[in-house]
Amino acid sequence: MIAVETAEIYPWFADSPTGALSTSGSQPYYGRLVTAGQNDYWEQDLSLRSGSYRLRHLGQTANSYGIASITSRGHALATFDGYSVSLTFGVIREATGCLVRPGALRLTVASKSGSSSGYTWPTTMARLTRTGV
Amino acid sequence: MNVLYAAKEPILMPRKLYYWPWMATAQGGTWSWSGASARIFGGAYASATATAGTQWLEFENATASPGTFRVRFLCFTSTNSGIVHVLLNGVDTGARADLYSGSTVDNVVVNSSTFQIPAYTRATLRLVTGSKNALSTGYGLRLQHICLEKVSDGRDEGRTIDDLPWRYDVPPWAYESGGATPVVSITTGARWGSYYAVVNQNEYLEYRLFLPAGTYTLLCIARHNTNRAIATVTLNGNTIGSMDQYAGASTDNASSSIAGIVVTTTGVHTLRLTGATKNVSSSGYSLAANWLEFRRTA
Repeated sequence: MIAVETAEIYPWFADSPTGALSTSGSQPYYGRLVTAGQNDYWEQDLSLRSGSYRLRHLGQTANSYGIASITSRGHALATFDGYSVSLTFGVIREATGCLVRPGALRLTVASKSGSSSGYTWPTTMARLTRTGV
Repeated sequence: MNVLYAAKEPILMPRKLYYWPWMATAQGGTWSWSGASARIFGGAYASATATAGTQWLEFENATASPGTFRVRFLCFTSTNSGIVHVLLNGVDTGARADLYSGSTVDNVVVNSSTFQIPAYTRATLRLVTGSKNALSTGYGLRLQHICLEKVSDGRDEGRTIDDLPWRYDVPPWAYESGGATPVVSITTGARWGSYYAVVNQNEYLEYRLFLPAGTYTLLCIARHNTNRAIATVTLNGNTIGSMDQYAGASTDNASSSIAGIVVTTTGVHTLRLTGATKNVSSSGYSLAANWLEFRRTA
């Protein structure tokens, strides 16, 4: 199948979000998705060519953020911990070797670190780049 | 990695195409671009108040398979905002999105009504404030991000690779590792709200992106300045042109382009911008990018 092999994901245009979706922020640098409670998620349908992908996520970290689990059609791709002692903008997370199939990619705030006070998860955007079969 | 494909391999078309207002192919009316506000994502938006029909943005080569579509807007609504009319190839689709609200509401997503695209198309999408709510005091249009979205099921297969998108974004933050780590600068007046830069001679910004075979123009939005390099631009190691980022004073949102880039194979390609040389007036080799986009022309 021929299909695009790089894709950008913008959470404000996601399909099927649960929780409170907000793009407000005090910095113009980021749009933010706020998921208000545990197990909130957003989902984005992707028309990608199947294969191994590198996943990158641009967001921020803080002491009230949760842990995001990213899956493709139920298959786990990556887990990112959003906790940090202080608020940090422009944090880039990366996972490689992600097996992606055409269909929905889902980000779920499934848990949090013991130090975090909440389950917020902000996303500016994410990007997938195909690296192999 | 470039990949050659069998001629009859099925083609899957994306169901969403994204557009930044500040990357419009053409625009009508008076627009201002600003980013110094919490209500703005990406550091830029387009604002306009005028008479009906005079304010518009246009995006060429929107590809679509037959089905039902809508246009989604990340925007802020206000008391003097108008109703967006959605046109394809100059024909009113009948789709509307009312951006009026009783008070200013930041960062909301407004969906247009749906419309039909009966046949495969590669059309010019025009968004125009063609009318207004009776309560609105103007035809304002504040758009931060736009999505053309297919909402009906099925028939996502394309006929040829020409049905795949004709625009490919390169977010500057998604740089490849291997060279110097770019420094990010948050700039409220800049499109996308920030830029990434390398500083020393021969350092580079490198990206990987999918491109179908075709002919392209590469556009780069960046802050030009007195210390900027001339970017040598390569695709898969082959030089495709250069971009001089020197300016006599700091200039946000300066645009450079390289036209006539021939891509012979469909697949993931490597783009690199290297600060190898500089304008004789420049004091350094710094190289910056707010946003990059490949725009297919043939």
